Amino acid sequence: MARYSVLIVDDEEDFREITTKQLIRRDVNCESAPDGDSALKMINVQHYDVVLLDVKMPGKDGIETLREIKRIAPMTEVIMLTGHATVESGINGIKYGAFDYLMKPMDMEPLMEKLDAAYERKRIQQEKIESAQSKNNLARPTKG
Amino acid sequence: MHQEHHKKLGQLLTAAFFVCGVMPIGLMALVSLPSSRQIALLALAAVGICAASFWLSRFFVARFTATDQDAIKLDEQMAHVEKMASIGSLAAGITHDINNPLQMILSHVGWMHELLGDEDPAQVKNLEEYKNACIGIRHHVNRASKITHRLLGFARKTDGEQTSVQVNELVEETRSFLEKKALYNNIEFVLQLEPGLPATMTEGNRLQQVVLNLMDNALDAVAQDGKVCISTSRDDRQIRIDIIDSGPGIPAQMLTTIWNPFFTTKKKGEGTGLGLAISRSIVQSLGGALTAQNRSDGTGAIFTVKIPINTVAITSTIETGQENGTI
Repeated sequence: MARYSVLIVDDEEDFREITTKQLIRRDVNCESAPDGDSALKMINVQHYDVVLLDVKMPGKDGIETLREIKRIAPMTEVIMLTGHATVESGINGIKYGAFDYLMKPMDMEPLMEKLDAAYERKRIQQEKIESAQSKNNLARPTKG
Repeated sequence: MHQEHHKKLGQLLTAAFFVCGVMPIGLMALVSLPSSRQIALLALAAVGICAASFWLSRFFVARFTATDQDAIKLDEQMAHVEKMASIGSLAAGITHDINNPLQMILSHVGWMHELLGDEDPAQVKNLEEYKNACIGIRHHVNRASKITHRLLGFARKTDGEQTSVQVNELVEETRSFLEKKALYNNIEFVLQLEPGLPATMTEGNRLQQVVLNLMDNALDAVAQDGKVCISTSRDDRQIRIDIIDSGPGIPAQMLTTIWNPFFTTKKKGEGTGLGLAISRSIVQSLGGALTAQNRSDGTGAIFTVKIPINTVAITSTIETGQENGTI
């Protein structure tokens, strides 16, 4: 079973294709979308642990897409990818709830580190919520 | 051109002052038919007026020249600011266009390298060569990406997290990066670090980039067999780092042009000509100053970095830096 799932959103087809192959090889379930709108459609119907999101794409840009993702699936962690001089957008992304940002070109190792770290945070958050919920459920009957 | 202009202006002013001063005296002489004693007095007054008009005109011309030179200097500074701003936007464009294909090269070669790991060495005769070639490509793409990231650093002024930086430690660490290069070229690093320098809140990585660049330049200037001395010191408000080399020094006419982007004396392919321009821009964005001079005995150059001693992270310094950073 895959360790976690990733959605790559980038308009470079080659990048999507190779990174998907590389992630699958590392036991990560991976799918990809060429733009923000198709990514949002996919997130609406399926759950992803981490989204790797390019800042600059035709159509909906990275920040807009990020805000939508955070609205639809607030638990999903997002890592922003900046391929140009918009590191500010990456930093801006963090303000809107992105986990981190990465600057292109990057090797697989730093990418994997960030993805693992993002998933780890998501997992811990999820556990916290679940344990809080179960405590809540346990607490109710005694109150009554 | 300007000097000639000022000379003519000086002559005109002298003439004007002279006429204004001497005419009333001449008129007085004509109207009142003076005695010989009065003529002597009038002549004396005329001589006085001559001298006064000469000095007055010289005074005004000097003032005009100074103002003019200030205006020229200001114009040059403005032109420089504009140039740096356009380089900034050019840099942003270049990084955008280059980083994407660089990413693709890196991804493809990374994938190829991974798959090569699956191959049976007995079946693939040149397997090690292929793997080494992949490592080589990755290395060179990373080199290229460092340049684009430096350009990016040039385009944007700050990214930065300020941390408490011990300048002496930073210098020693930077020295260690270049030790091999120095050893190979028989250049001795001499560190004269003032003990007990206070820590300062600044962007350590960017400051280190500057010090590394200056030390590397110093090694290049010395080339072979010599010394590079790095000293640190402080006053009430600033920490000072001097990088002193035993190279040939900077030709006087280049003392201002060395700060221009794309200015380099290195061989083609060895320097981008951006190091000093970026370094200065960084130091200014950190609220400090970077200057260059030749040693008084003519045996090399001194680059001086001054940064403020901040006990807390100063955001206003960064903002000011952003405005001034393009100079």
